[in-house]
Amino acid sequence: MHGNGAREASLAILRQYLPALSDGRELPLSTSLRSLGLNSMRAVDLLLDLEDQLGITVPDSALTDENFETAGTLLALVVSLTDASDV
Amino acid sequence: MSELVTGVALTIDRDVALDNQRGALEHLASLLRAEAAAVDDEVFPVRGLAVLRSAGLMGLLVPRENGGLGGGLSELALAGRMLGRGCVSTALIWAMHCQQVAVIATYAGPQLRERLLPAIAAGDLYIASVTSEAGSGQITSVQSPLLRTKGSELKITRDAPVVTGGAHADAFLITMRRDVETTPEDVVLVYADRHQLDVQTKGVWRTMGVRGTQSGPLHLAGVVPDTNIIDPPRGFPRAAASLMIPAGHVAWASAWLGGAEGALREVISALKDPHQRRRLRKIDDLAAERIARIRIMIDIVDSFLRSYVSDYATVYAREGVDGDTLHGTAFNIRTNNLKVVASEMAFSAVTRLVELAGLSMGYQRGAPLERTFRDLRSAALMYSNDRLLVASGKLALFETKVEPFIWQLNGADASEGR
Repeated sequence: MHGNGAREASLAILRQYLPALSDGRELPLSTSLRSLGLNSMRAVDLLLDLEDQLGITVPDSALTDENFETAGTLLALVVSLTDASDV
Repeated sequence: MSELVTGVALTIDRDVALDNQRGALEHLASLLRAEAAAVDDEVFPVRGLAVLRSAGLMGLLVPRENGGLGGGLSELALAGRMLGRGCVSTALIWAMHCQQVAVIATYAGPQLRERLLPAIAAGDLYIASVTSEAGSGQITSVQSPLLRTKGSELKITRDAPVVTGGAHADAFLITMRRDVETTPEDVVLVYADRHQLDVQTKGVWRTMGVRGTQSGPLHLAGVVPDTNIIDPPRGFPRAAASLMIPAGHVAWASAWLGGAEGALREVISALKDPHQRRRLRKIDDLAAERIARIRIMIDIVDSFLRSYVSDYATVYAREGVDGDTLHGTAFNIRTNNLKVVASEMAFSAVTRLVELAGLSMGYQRGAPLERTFRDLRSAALMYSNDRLLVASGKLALFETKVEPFIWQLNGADASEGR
């Protein structure tokens, strides 16, 4: 899976870990994920879910606050990893 | 009549390191111990607290320039252990207060600091902690929002299922959701004097142990000026992980360690008295082995606690409280582990002491050992170990820094070469 497929799948997974994002509301790409309800525990569950469902491995070096800051930064990370796994 | 009633003055000398005030701390422990049975009767230790107030220990973590003892986690651990030796309930009440003081001393604005810190140091302000919410063990998430009323006032309405000493506190430090528009994770702290709140007791505290903490549920409502808000610069979750939870766990772990230590001293002293020994048991190999194992458990808690406090001080000196290491996963796991290790090992030591002392000393109602057994049973339940272990386990999956602590420090590039 790569490109738009990974993007859409990631967004669908991510939504489930954002309790402050109401159903049906579009997931804003530049809003802080923390303000949407992502705490450190949910972030761990999200990461496991992304890895399992997308078949990627997020390296430890990518587990930074910056990568988990917004949906946009997280998507960029996931897309780069799915692209890399396709090579 | 106890010494407490006769009002023996006991003061911690501000100009002498706490390590060198063994006599005063031991005296304090013995005063609290004399009250511990009465406190176990579901009585908040008003007199014990009065001794701590006048000794200056309520201001242990208040900086010296604000009139306090200027202590850090090391002094917190030492004093907590001695108080726990005397009375676990009193030690836990004091522990919770000190946790709030750490937050105020570090994060309150200048106006609030200058008003509160000297009063805390003088023993005039005992501050209760309001961080729990029904149905959630988390302290980093609060449903109840602060409401802005006219201009610069904040309206507080908050139910709290567990508030240690709530009926007796002079003030409260309360976690609240920042605003009705923000998420429950957007938490700030609000300070409120008791007279600024309508404090309603919503239940009773009838428990197996730590009965003196009187940690029953409260409903709080009131209005405070917005200068009472404490909003750590990098957010509450970071402040909780880097300061509030470490201070709390160090103080609790010390109180439990002191409780177990006090129980061991009691049993050893009985076993060394020939008259009592005849009634209790022979010092055979089994008894010796049991004593050795109990010592090991106490030593494990002592070692873990001291290494935690020492490493915390190292990080604090290098990065301050808001650096990345204290907030990092490796240190968070360590903080959780301190609480889990201390709560399990201290209770296990007392369980073994009951076994060692037998029915006549270990199982008698009203005996210190039985009380400490019940008190320390709460250790795994408060700020539940189950939840901490789940958190640590998940975090550890993504934390490869199983390595010497010194490499975990920010700036010591542990990822180099990976």
